[in-house]
Amino acid sequence: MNAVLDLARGAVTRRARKPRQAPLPYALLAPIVVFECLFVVYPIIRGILLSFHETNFGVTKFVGLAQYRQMLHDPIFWSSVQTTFEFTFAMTAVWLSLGLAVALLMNWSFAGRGFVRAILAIPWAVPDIPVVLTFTIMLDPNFGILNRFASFIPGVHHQIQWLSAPNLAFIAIIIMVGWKGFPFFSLILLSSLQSIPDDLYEAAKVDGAGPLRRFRSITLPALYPTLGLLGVLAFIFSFQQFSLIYLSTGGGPGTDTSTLAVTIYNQAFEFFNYNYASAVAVVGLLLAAAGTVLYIILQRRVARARRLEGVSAGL
Amino acid sequence: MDNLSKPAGSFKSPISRRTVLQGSAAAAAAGIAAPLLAACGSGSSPSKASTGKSSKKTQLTLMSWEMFEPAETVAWHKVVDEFMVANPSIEVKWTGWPFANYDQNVIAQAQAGHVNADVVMCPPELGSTLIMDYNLCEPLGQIATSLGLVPNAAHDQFVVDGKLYLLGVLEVAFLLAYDQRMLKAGGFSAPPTTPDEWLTMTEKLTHAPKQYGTLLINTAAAAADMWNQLQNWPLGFGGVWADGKNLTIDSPANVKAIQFWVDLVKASGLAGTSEAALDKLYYGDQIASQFTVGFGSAALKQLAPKLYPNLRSAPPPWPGKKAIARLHGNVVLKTSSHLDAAYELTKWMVEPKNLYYVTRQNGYPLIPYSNFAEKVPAYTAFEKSLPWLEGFNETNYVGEADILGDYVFAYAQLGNLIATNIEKAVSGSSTVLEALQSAQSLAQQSLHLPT
Repeated sequence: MNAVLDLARGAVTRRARKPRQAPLPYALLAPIVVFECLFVVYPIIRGILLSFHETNFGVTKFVGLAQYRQMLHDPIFWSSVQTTFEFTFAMTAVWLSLGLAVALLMNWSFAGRGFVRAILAIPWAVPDIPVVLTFTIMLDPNFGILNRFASFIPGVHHQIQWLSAPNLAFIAIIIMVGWKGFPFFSLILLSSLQSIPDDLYEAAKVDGAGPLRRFRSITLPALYPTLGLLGVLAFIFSFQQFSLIYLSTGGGPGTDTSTLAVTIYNQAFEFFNYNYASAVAVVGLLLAAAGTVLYIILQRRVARARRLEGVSAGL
Repeated sequence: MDNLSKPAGSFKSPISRRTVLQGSAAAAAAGIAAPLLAACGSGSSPSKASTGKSSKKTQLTLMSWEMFEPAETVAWHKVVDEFMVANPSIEVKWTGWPFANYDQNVIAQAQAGHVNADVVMCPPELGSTLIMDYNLCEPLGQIATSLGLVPNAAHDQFVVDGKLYLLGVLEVAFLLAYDQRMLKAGGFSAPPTTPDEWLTMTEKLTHAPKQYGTLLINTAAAAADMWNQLQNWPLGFGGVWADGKNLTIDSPANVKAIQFWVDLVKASGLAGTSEAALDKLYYGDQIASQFTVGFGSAALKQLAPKLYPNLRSAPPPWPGKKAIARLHGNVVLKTSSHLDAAYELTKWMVEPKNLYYVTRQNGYPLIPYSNFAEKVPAYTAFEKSLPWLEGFNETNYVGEADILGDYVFAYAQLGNLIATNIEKAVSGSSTVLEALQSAQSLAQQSLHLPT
């Protein structure tokens, strides 16, 4: 009995001795949590609820899945899903490859490297509106500098309509968004590059490895985790891209550059179909989440496969 | 951790690093929460707009885009200020948004359940939506009757069951505006009167990059403004976009009309050029003509001082000389807590002397009341003093309902679908017929019409 009481006393003492969690971390987190709840979580929940209703001058009627059924038969919706994924995959490839290329260049030592690094960050810092205005002028069929250069190419006789022709408008958007966003990716990759020990490169040189082999065997494997993370970010950034596309092409010609973000905007603020726009937004959210999860799963599988490959090579 | 690291019995300062940090965190949280709570509690709730507990005056809210028009707002504010002087028990508060997103914001409020205004100035499609779609407005015909004004035919669009629900304050009507200097220099003694003449004139006056024949907005990035011009074209070829409930976007007449429009765009040498660049060229005296609404000459005087004295107008150069007149006017909302005061403000704004004042100051071309010249004889002399006004007198104006049938409420939606598809015809990636058929199909699906 005394042993039991001693045990219980000990447990109580241990519980009594458990240190209290300091309230300071929670207090410091509270403002941002409140902000996120009010301006992110709440609107998402409201949007989801809105997608199951039909609202007309404040009178809301529950319609279940009617908005989603409409979506299934909406060719503009399916077109915008296709355009969104094409754009997202293209942007991810462009941002990662261009970011890596620029990071590799900036990793070299040369005179004025600091200055070049600073000006390469300018596209990221410029707001969207000046970017759109500048590109729109550059791509103008009659006055744009691109067509001035194109006119020197043999065989190019007509004024190329960069933003009005279907395929060209898509390419123009990719160039513009790619230019705007690549500094972010190159700066992060640059910092990862600089964390790779020089000894590895020197050892590889001694073993006779050329630049390509060193890149393939040392640089790329070291960058895989960073590339994985940046791939996820590129997917998310490009999925939700709106202003650069809408301001330069309006989603046109036709619906050729209408991504889900543009379609949601048009449905809500041009056509005043708020409920339907909410439904499209919910589907967009699910697609973005699914794409991100899939990407992370694939990335982990690749990383695991590489680890196993490394282990078996060591053995 | 800190508790365990402190030696037992050590002196405890009343002010520690931890207490400072805790206090700062609490102050930051309060600093963020306070304005949020204040924002939730304040704002344009109808009760606040109407009770006016702090003053004995009746608070009226006038919703308009005019407060954002630098060349026009002064005259409108003067009229409203004079109303407040004449009615010292009423205080008018302005609210609104720039014209580019005015309709969207008003509709957003309407969808949310309450438009925060007593009197709303509306473009025609917004007026139709508030009157017919939402049934939000009070009849106003009695005001025109009391003033002895006869609303012109543009008001017919806002008549429901014999009652008029919108009183026009400005009418913007399309016509062919041209620079007489450029036409004379190009060997043209008169503006075109047929589509072929217009096409020929456009080709002959286009000398890229210094001069261009005709300004026609043709990029989807400016779909709303492109549609604003483009919607007129079927009128010259016997077509309409909708006839009652029947959408006729891809009718043979419309195909012919839009093919002519595409030919004009290509002849002008400005296919694919952004609206901003087109405006810059126009104000810089580099475009000979454009199909436009003739309004806001006060703005044109500032933006294009060399063009303005040489500006002339002509009716649309196609059979019938039909073009759209867009009537903008005031509606009084049923939800207003001060209907009598709202009626008084609306009446004041269409009083002949006030309407004439605003028209003269802002250079509006048309006053939408058939007998206005009888009420204000000086108006006739004013009209004659504007040399660019002659085209209005020869144009046969129709309303939005005449070309959009029962789909005036879907003005923006139809416009977006049609304009973005027609851009493909401009770039050559589809024919005009294919573009209009695509727009027809998408419009039928968007509006849930049987295909």
